[in-house]
Amino acid sequence: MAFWLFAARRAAHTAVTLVLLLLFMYVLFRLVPGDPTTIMLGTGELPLEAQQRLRELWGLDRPQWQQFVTYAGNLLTGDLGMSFYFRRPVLEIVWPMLLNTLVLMTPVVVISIVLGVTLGTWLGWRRGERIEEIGAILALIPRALPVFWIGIVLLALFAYELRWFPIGGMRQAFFFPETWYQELPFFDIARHLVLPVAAGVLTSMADPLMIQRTALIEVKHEDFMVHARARGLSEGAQRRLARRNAFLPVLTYSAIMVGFAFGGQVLLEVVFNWPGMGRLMVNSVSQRDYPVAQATFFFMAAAVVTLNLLVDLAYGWLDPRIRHE
Amino acid sequence: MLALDDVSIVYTTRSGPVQAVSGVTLSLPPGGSLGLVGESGCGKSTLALAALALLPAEARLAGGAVRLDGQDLAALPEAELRKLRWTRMAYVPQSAQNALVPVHSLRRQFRDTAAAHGMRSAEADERAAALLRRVELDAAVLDRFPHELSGGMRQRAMIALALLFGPSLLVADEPTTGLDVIVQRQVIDLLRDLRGEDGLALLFISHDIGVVAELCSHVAVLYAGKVMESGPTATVFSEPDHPYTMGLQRAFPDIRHPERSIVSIAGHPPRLSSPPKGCPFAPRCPFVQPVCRDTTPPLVAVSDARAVACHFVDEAAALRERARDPALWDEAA
Amino acid sequence: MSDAVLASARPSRAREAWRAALLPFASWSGGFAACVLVLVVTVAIFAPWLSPYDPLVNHFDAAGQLRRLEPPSGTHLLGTTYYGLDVLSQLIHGTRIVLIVGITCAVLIALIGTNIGLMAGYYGGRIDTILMRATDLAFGIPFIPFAVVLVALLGPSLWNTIIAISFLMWRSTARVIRSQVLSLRERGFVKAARIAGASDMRILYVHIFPNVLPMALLYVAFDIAWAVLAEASISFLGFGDPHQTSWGQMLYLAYVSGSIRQAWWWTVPPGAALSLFVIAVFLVGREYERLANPRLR
Repeated sequence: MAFWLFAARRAAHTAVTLVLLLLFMYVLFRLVPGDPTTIMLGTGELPLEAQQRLRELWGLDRPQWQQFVTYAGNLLTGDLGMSFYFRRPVLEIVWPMLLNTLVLMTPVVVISIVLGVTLGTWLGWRRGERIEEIGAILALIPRALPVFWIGIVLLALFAYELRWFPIGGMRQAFFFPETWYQELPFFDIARHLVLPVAAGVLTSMADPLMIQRTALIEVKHEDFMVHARARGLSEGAQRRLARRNAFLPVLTYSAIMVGFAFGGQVLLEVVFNWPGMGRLMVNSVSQRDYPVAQATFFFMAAAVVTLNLLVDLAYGWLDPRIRHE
Repeated sequence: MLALDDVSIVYTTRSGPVQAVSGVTLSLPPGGSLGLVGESGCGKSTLALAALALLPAEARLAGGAVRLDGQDLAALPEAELRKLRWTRMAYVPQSAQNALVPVHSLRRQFRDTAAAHGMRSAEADERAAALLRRVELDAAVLDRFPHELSGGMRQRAMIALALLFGPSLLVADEPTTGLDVIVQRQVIDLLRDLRGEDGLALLFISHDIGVVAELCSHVAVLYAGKVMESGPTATVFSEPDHPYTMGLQRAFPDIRHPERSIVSIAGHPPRLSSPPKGCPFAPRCPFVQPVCRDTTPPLVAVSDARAVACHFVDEAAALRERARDPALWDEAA
Repeated sequence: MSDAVLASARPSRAREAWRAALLPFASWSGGFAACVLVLVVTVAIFAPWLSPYDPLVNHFDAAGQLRRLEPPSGTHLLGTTYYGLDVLSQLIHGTRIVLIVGITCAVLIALIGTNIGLMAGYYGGRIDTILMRATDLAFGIPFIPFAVVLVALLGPSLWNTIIAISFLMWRSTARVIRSQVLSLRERGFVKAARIAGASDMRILYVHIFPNVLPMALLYVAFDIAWAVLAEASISFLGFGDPHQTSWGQMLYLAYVSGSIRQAWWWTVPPGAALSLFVIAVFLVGREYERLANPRLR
């Protein structure tokens, strides 16, 4: 019962944030000099009279707040407008890209968290030993590397030099399987995934690792850990207990991490030529295809906000103390 | 069954080693009860952890031995110790609030403990329900989380958990701290009932001599990591031989003598990182003599059961007389 | 007694500052990192004298051919780019962008973040709600995509990149400072100042601010690293200032010209330099972090 109340409050909070984000985006994209008629058709190419008719048709002559309400309403019903560049409905263009992005991002995020938590637990548990000191410094390094540079290095080594993996993209045109395993469904996508996922995991793993390590060190000093040892719990059981209790900060962080992942995703997709939303966004911004740019931007922001909500809810579920506050 | 033989414990800190416990010798027979009293920071909790072979990484046994049924705990490998823990010796810590795993239900904590020693979940559930009834809790609390219970319920659940394998030694470290008076009473009554049941030996740690007097047949008074006085509780508190015990005794209300004013011993315990020369209590002792500041008095047996570490143990009767004056304690500094 | 001795031997303010400056050298990793930072600053200051050529001048060989993608040699120590530019000179001039972006962004972020945190934590109530809602909102905006959109809309320039980076990055500083202020607000010295009739501004900036300063400075240090990485990312996506040579820009040009398969001398130095700088900031920051949080020792 208390949990549902808590969930409802958090959901309302998220809804408000989403509306504010929309408003922010609306203002942001109105920073562009000119309006869609001039951007889409170029200045001076259309007689003023025709431009005026278009403005009326598109509702650009109405007050700003009315335009915003229409805009928000359309967005929420899935009408994202027409792409200036592709001359097709934005949703038709963005939707497949969104799926492609998820195909790349999901393994990156999942593997990063699993690996980060595992290694972080291991390092934190060995606190004070020489190996922990070295490990902590080694863990800092990949966090400092620019993801696109890792991408470039991986491509140069494993795609161009060794030719183990494709040089980019998501699938190969005219891919003909040669051996049995190459005939497996998704084999082609999987081998395209290896390098981008490796680059993504290398850079995203460090944060959950460091957070888990710090949280574990704190937890190790708690009374219940001494008590667990007194109860004769095995070393492995003690470590699992510490990990379980140290996991909550990582969970909180993982929402923020997904936010960062979207940023990293843009870079990953560009380097590896992955046909996802990040690359679409960069291209549409360069081509001044603002409806598409807005849509991609909004999807990313909405995903971050929604994930924050999900994490809050998971937190309430995993830590029974939260719900009562 | 539990024997501490000349135990010294040193903490490694950034500002150098700190001797928390020096040369403590104690013994606790099967079914017996021993109280450790002293102010906070006197080394009682460290001794409790040493008795359980649970010293933290930064502390080490610098000398002496802790024996459980004649077995030297320091000589046992961790795997052997793990088997002894909770089956032979159990622990009720200071704060049940912090010692229970916050994210697990009580059932889970009983089961995990049981599993660590090869007991099946079904049997653990059965034992847990019986033990909870023994500590006068409803078996329904098994499915509660620690934060959902009151302080007294948590502490009683903690005791039930300690009894899971019917240990022969129970170490209770200030188990009533932070509880209100009525709940304190319940916990103490419970421990008194359990003491000696099935040969359970109790090592009880407290700063409250009243509670120790009620629960323990024997007592050791600790100051600055050393035993100042030890012996049967009844005689130690009725005829203290050490000035520190005399002061400590006057620091708690006595139901038998409600007219007595409560004193506090002026000054603070010495910093263990730089202990004073001679008797550690000398700086606060109202009867201090030059010899006290020079030579550390050894712990000497004054009768079959009693031992005292004071140069003036022969004059104890006279000192007890002088100690009755409350003004004496406030003047000393 | 030992306390009295210590007190009389308390070092002067200058000595304390000197000790703080030498702190990273307490460990080998921190000392190494501090050396890297000193090197970057020195190179940035003396870039025009240190670099062998103008970084934006195309080089031709005797036959008048553009020196395209030449591997390292005596004349071009780190080779040339696809456009016939000297890689070493570009690398050296890139340090200036690192410093400009790092320091300007860190100062802007610290100014915005610290003040928002101070206000929200101190005043509480409505002001806190509004400011923290704004912070939540800032956390909801994906950073790199936002920066790209803003730079594209405002037009690519170094200054616009700096604005785009600072516009969102104050969010974590604000949250941390706020939580610090929340606990400081209830401390005795703040209450005493309030009873003594000090104005809110005075309490905030004279009494509370010095206490959150160490934490704020620590965040500034890490922000330098993040800002430099962000600038490199924006440049790599092709939205960098076309008139400046930044390490991110070098990687962008190497990538778009299709030179990454052979021209390792063009891709490795800027990436390695960037990584080394960021690692150095992390390592030095880590040493100071231990001061702020003794548990990490």
